[in-house]
Amino acid sequence: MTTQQLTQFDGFVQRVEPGLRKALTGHMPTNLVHDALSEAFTYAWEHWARVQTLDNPGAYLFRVAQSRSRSRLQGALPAPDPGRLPEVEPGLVAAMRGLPDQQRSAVWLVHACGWTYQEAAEAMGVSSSAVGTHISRGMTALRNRLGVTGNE
Amino acid sequence: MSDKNNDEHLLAQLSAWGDQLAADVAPFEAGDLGQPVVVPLAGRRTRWNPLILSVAAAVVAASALAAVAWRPWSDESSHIAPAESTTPTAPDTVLPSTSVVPTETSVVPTETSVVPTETSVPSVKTPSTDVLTTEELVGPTTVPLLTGPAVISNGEFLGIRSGSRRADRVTALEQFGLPITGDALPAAHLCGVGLPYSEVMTVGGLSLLWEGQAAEDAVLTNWWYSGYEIDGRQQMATAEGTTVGDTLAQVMLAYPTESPQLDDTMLLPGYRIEITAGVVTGIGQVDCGD
Repeated sequence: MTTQQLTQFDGFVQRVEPGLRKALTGHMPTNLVHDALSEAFTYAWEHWARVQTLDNPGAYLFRVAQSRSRSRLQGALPAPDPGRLPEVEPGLVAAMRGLPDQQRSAVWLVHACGWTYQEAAEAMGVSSSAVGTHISRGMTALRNRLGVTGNE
Repeated sequence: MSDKNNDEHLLAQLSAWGDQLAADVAPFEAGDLGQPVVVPLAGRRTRWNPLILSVAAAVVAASALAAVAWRPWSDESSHIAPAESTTPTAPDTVLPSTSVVPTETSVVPTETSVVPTETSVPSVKTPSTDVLTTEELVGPTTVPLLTGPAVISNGEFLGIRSGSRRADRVTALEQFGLPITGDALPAAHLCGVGLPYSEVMTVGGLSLLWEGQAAEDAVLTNWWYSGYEIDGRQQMATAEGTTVGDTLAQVMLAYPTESPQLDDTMLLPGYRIEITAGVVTGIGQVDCGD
């Protein structure tokens, strides 16, 4: 790999890592996220010629990280620290954990991580419209559970 | 409803939650990966300097949780339905003296299972009938393993697994009567961790990479299975029954929640399989550079 490629890869990691890290924290225990990131970026390094051409490499590496972490505690959604985030309602954690996996992933990726529907769709391996459906149903369930008035 | 009880507040909570969890994880930097170097070693492969050893070790450890099973290869069909699960502690089988193998066996892995020691490597003996009968543990075999299935679990096969010491395991491999060679690697399928000593050992369609500071302390760091061809009667399969020769449709039946992620590679829980023209052509663990 040339110096230019090394520089490109370093920039790629800096650009993709924050969003990928945030996305993964909603899907596995926090102490496993760094290992999952290592595996995802190792894969990206090994397949750099291919990964750098992807439209949404973060979404792709999210799937890689999940696949490689499958034997671990998938689906785990760590609760926030109430001491640092007192404004988060206690019921939200239980409500999110009570959502079906696809709905919880869609809501997390889009609303907690700020991913686009397309990015979430590629990460989840579904269509954008399916992501919209999952979010709609997930948010409805959250509102009902928490007694929140929707603005939609 | 108060102002607090609206979607805006709910979304703000979700965003703050995500921010806090992300802040609790140390950022990953490209420098954590180290630099790869290409060295000539029994064919083309990408190897890594010591900086990446920790990453490779994590991958190896994750892959070691995978379960593999050897199962009989049908004389009439190259594809066998996923094996019926049995207990993971009964890998020993009395085998028929002919090539008739009426059943197949695999093991569902459990992460809490104890890794068998070399002394528990299953071996076989020839019964007087042509039908699989009872299970029995016998001493070092006098009949090659090829005459029947060996059941392996938790990423262990033929008495070895990632991390097994070469010095301890070569004898175990030889006990099975399998031809051990040092043939060239399947290209780009056996990336190592970059230790000074490395040796490729080929057992049928299974390639094993041993690495260490010297031969005496070398351990198994990678393996790749590309189809077992001796006698055409045995092969390696994942716990869900996926094996070389399966079509993509069969893989999807075995792993309904997975989907192909690359043109030629599919990452399954604990495995990486290679798919060429819609057919599985190899099963391995650690992914390697092109």
